[in-house]
Amino acid sequence: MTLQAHDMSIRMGAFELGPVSVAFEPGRIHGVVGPNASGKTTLVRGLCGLQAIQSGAITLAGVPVHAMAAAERAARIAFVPQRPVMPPALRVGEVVALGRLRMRRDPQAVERSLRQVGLLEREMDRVDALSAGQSHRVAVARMLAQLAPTTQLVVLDEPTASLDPAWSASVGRLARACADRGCVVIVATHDFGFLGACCDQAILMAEGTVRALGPVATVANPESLSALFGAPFAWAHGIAAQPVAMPRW
Amino acid sequence: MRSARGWIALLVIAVACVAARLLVARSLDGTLQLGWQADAAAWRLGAVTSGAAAGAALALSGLLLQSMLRNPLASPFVLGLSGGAQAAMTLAALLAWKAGAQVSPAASVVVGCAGSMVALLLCIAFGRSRERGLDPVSLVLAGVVVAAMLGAVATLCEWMLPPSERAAVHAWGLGRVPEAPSTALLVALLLVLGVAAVGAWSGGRALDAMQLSDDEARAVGVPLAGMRWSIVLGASALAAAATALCGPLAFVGLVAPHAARGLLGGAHRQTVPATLLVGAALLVLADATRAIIPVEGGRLPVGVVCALAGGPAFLMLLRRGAVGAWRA
Amino acid sequence: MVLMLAALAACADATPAASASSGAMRVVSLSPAITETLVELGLRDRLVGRTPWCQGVPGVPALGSMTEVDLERLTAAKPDLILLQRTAMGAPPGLREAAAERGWRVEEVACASLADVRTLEARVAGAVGVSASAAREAQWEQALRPLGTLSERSPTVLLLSAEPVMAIGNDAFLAQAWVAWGGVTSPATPGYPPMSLEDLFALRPRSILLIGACPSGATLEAACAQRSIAFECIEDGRLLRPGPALREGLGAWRESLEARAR
Repeated sequence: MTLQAHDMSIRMGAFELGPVSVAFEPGRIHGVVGPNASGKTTLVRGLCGLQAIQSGAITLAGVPVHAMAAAERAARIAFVPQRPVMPPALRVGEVVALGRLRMRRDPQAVERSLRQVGLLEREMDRVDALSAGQSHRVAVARMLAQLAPTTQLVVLDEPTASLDPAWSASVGRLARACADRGCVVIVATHDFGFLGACCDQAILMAEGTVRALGPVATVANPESLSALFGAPFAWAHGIAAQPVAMPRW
Repeated sequence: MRSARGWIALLVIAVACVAARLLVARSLDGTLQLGWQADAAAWRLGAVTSGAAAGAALALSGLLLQSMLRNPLASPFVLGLSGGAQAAMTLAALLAWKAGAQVSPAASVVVGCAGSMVALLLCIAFGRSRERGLDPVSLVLAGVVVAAMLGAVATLCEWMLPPSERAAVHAWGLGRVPEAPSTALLVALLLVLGVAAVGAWSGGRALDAMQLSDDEARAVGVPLAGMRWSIVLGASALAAAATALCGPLAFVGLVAPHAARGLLGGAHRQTVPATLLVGAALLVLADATRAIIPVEGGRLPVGVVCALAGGPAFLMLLRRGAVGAWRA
Repeated sequence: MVLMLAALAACADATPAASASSGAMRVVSLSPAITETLVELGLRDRLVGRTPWCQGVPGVPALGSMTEVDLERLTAAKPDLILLQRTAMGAPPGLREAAAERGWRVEEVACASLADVRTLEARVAGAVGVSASAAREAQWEQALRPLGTLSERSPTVLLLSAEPVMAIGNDAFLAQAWVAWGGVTSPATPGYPPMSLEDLFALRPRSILLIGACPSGATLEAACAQRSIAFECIEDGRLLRPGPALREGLGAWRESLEARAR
């Protein structure tokens, strides 16, 4: 059930990522952090097969993700993008139901997902009338609706960027629930509270390479993060059960 | 509930448009004449059939393009599909004349479809950048340029034709809904329309998902490449078959999807049939308007009516905010 | 939009249609020249349809032109005979099929050459089934008698339009009338060839005659003056259509040429 990248490299114009070799464990939440343009989004898109790779291989439970057919990928991998597109004139419920495009229709799953992101009463509203944060919650709900016993990988790209603290915490709990189902969960984030409180593993990226990876408590310390971002970090207490490395102002 | 109301409104509008074409005409002394006329029935039914089929085809083509390209301004006319079909068919007529042959209706639809596809692929190729993908504004600008170039090709081919062939090509180029349609062209159009409509309706949910970003669409299981090629082919064939029968017509393909979304929402299981109905009604209405405008020209080109009425209708939609942009 | 449509409507001719006397052949003319000929033949009351460009027959509805007809309106006019000007384009789309289905007779009448125009009346009369008067032929003879004075003005380029330059080719009736009078025209090509000013002067004409809208010829006239080429403009609508009025137009033109020679 592990997700493994072997010497994965990606080229996008002038930007090059990798080669990267990482293994992601099921039941764990992996936080990918790094400065702007360090390649977080490219890495997570490559890992779920949405970005063509130049060389190397990515396998999910032994199956190469880039060889999966569309339906198979939808059954195994769920994804929430950084900036979800809200098509005009579609309703909230319809967009969430798209998560089950290749599966049996299940209005109850849609309803449950909407309730989990607090948008059940907006089910019949047009998605193009929503705020950025609400749009993001719609995309999270769609990912939840897509979850099935076959789901092995859940990828969230900057899930908390436009969410208030309460919803950020909710997304953290939802991500934990996914991990508890036995999925590999990968979250690209700039939210160090989220990293410290919700993630098990940290992957530190810079200039298209992985600089460090390991348990959050050991890898995401103020020294390494200060070096990675070129900005001061310090331990903050009282944010989570254990101290969390946070940027210092 | 809302959708039932929308469907009733739509059906009433469509029936009214057909009734207008069937029952209202300008008599020879210039007065408006109301009622069924046995003499004219065959012509009016022929015009309704041609208009409805071509209008529905253009509208569906526009809807598929808008959903695939996530661009509210996409339409077979704006992106040069109609112009591409026109150019290709005129070129075929020219080459056939040089070879002493005739272009069969089926061949002209196939050639026109190739022309439409070339236009669309040119628009997509030049409307996208490596960094940002398909940019809505670049796409429309590419469409304007491609349409202008193909228009020049059509004009050149028409100009090179001998006078014996030119007049028919010219009159067709202005757009008209034939009351005595060529059976072969009508059958070809209905065939293309049937296949495309069934395909679009059954793939309706995948079309919904296609309107998300590429990543999201792929993530929920849309086979994007296959869908895209099917839509490129389908939208081109629809535009070409409609153009072969009625000439290049503006705005029907642009306005109909917006009106359908406004009435019945954006889910394609509803939008596809609604768009077909709106497109059919619009072109039949345009032809009904043409038939009752007392212009001293024997016959006003329906293309003129489409552009004169469709432009303001689109501006009105724009003003009312119905032209929803695809938000990221 | 509404204003535009209203303006268009206001331009329309809304007087009631004159009905053809019952039992007589109902004729639709899709050519102004043929319409004029029918009127000349005294068949005005048989005419039940015309083109938008046919003048002098108010009350007859416009049904179409050489390139397009409105089949529904044509059906409503209940024609027996449809007269078309023969052009290389053939009949408007759908007309022949509709005619075959509904039993309308369609006759194409050639009106391109001078010989066509001279026999137009007789052929239209023949198609309708009446006889034409023989007196007209003498008037044609009169109008086309040779003039001895055109050779010093030839070769002459006859123009239908000055901007853009559109010449009258050697198979057109006006060029043939000029030749009948004893002149020579250029270019020796058929039809109405468009040309640039450079092409025009490369023909080395002694004179250029514009038969059309004279104000549009001002630039050309100045260019001719520089090159010592005689330029003249004749604005006479009768000369532009191959109908019966052409005979009078040519007669008047010939008289003015004769008077100048004296």
